[in-house]
Amino acid sequence: MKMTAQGLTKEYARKSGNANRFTALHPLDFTLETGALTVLMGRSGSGKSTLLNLLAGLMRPTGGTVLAGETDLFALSDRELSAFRNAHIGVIPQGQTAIYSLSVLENVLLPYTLTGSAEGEEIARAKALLERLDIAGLADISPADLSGGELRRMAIARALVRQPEILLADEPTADLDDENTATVCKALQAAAGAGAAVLMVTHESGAEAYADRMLTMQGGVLSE
Amino acid sequence: MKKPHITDILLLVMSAALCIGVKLLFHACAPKEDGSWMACHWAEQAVFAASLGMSLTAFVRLFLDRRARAGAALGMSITAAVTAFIPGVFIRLCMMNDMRCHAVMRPAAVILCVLIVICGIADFVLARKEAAA
Amino acid sequence: MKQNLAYRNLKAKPVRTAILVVLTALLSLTVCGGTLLVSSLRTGLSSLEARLGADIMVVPYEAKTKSNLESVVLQGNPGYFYMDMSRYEKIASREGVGQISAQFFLASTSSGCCSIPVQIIGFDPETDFTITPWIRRSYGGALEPGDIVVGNDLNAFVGDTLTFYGVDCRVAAKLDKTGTYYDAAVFTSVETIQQLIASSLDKGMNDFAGIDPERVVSAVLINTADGYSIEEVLNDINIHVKKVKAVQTKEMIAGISDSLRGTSDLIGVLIAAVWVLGLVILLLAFTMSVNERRREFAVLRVIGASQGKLAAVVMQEAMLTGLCGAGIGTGLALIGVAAFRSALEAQLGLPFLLPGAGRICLIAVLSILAVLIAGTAAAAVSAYRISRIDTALILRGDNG
Repeated sequence: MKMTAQGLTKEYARKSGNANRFTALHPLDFTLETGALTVLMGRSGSGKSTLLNLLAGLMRPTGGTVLAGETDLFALSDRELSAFRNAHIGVIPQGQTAIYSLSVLENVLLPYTLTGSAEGEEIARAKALLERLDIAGLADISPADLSGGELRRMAIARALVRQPEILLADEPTADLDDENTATVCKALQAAAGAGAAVLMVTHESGAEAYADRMLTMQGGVLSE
Repeated sequence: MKKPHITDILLLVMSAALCIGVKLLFHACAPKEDGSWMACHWAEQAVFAASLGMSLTAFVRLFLDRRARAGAALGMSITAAVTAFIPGVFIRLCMMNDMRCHAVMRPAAVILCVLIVICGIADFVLARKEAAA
Repeated sequence: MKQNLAYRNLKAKPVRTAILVVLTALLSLTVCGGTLLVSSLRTGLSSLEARLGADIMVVPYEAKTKSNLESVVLQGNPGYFYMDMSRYEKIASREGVGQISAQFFLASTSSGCCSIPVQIIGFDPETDFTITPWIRRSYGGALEPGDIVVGNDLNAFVGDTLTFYGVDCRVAAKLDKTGTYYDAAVFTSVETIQQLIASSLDKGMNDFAGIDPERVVSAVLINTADGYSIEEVLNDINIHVKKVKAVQTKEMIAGISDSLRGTSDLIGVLIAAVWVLGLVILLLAFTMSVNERRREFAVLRVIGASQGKLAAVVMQEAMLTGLCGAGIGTGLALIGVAAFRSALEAQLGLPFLLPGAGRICLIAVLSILAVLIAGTAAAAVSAYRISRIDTALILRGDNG
C-alpha cells in the first residue's frame, strides 16, 4: 500500500518564549513507495520523527493530508484510525516499547490479541519471526530480562507480525552494536522485499547500505 | 528448610493465633465470684490444647518434604474441623447466649478453625498440582 | 490465545494489586458493616417497640425513683419490685383504661446450670395482650403449672428442666430472637411465678420479705380505651392512684431512640471518614499506577488501541480489583457482624436484631455496588487522562 502526503505541515506551540509557534515540518509532498526501503536521515530535531508520527496517524498535522492507499488517515475517527493502524501499519517506536506484564511472545502477538485472539497460524508466524530475528529461545520469558538489542528485535517482530503493508521504523538501530544493526536493517529490507512500503528514520549513516531510496531532512524541509 | 509457601505461613500464623487468642484475646467467661470455673472454661482449655497441637504441627511441617507437608496440612484441616465443634457442641457453654463464651470465644474460634480448614485443603490441593506438573 | 491485558497487568504487580484490593475491601467493610450495624439497631428498636406493645406501664413509685424501671424493663437487668394487688384493682377501675394486665417479676440467683441471674416474668394468660401473642408464634399450647418459656439467648431447650429457688420448671418453648432483653428472660404463668416468689421468700432470698405472693403485682400494662388519649389516662392514674408511677412506653423508648441516633451518627461519620481517606488514596493509587505505565499505554496506542480501549483497560483493572476487594470486605463484614453480634450487642448496650436475610443480601449487594462505583469513579479520572495522552510526545526520544 502506497502512502502519500500532500502539503503536510506541522507547527508546535511553545509553552514559553517570544516566538510562540515553531514549524517542525514545512509543507511537503512525499510518497512512500511499496516494495522499497526508504531511509530518512537527518540530525536531531530536524523533524524526522514528526513526519513519521504524522504518517502513522499518531499526531494530527497543522495542514495537509496523508493517504494510505485511498484512505485519508485524518478523515477517520479515532476508533477507525486505530483499527486501520492495527491492520495496515506496523510502527517501531523509539526506545524500549515492551509491555512488561506480558511475555516476549505475548508482546509480539499483541496486535492480534488487542482486538481479538491469536490462533495457531498467528502464533506460528510470531514464532517464525522470533526465530528469524534470533530470539526464539526468549519467547516465554519476561521482556524485563532482555537486552536492548533483543528488545528492539522483539518490537520489530511485533510490528511485522500482522504483515503490514506499511512499516514505519523510528531510529530502530539507535544504541545497537554493528551486528544487531545489521540484523534489524536486514529484517526491514526483507519486509520491503515482501512488498511493504518501509520507512526507516535514522541519524546513523550505516543504514545507507540497505536503502532503496535515501531522503534527508533539515530544519523541517525534506530533500532527496 | 525450603522457602515456605504462603499456605505454610498462614497455617502457622492462624493456628498460633487460635492458640494464643483463646487464652488472651477471646477467652471464655471469667471465673465465678467464688473462684470456680463455669463449663465454658473447659471448652477453652480443649480448644487451647487442640490449637497448641496444630501450632506445633504447623511449625514442624516446615522442615518436612512437600508430600509430608501436604499430609500434615490435611491432618491440620481435620483437627481444625473437629476443634470448631468443641465450644457449644462437644463441651457445653454457659447458659446465656450473650455471655462472653458464646459472644466472643465461640465465633472467633470457629472462624479461625474454618480458615485453617480452608488453608490446609488449599495446601494439599496445591501440593497435588505441583506433583502433577 | 486470548489476553486480558487488565488481568495480566494486575497479576504482574501483585503488591500494587494487593494494596488496591485491601483498600477497596476496607471501603466495603466499613460501608457494609456500618450499615448492617445501624440496620440491626433499628430492627432491634422496632422489635422492642413491638414487644412492649402497651400504651402505658404502671409500676410502684419506688421502682421509678430508683431508676429500676429502665434497668429492668429496657435493659433487661434482672430485678424486681412489687406493689399490692389493690393498686391493680384501683387502676383497672379508672376511666379510659381499655385492656389491662398485670406482670410479675422475679430474678433468679445462680440457678443450677444458669450461672448468672435470669429475669423471670410472670403474666396472666387470661388478660395478657403483650407477651401471649408473641409466645404463640413459638408455642401454641397453654402453659401448665411449672411450665416456662425461655428467651432465645438462654442455652436451654424444650424439655429441659431448669430449677429456680428449688422449684423444677419444664421448658415448654423457646422463643424467636427479638434482639431485646426478652431474649435473656424466662416467662411463665401467674401460678408458677407466685410459687417461685413464695419459694424465694421461704429461702430468705427475696429483698421484699413479708409480702404475700398472691397479693402482689410488679407492673400493670394498659392500652387505653377508644376515645381516650394516652396522656389523659396517664395523668388520671398518676393523680388518683397513690404510690404508683404511670409511664408512657413510647417515652421509655425515647432514651434508646436517642442513643440509637447517636450511635448511627457516629457510625455514619466513621464511614464517611474512611471513605474520604480511602477514595483519596484510591485516586492517588490509580493515578500513580497509570502514570508509571504511560509509555506502555503509548505503545498500545501505536499498535492500534483506540482511546476507548486504553480507558477500558484502566477501568477493567479498577473493576477487577474493586470486585475482588468489595467481595472480600463485604464477606468479612457479614461474617464479622453475624458471628460477633452478641458481643456487639453487649458492647453497644442497645437492642440489636439482625435484619432478615433479604435485607442483609440487599445491604451486601448495595455495598459491593457502592465500592465498584467509587473504585471505577476514582479510576475514571486516570482512564480519561490516559486516553488523551500524546503518544508521539511520550515515545519521542532526543532525535526528533
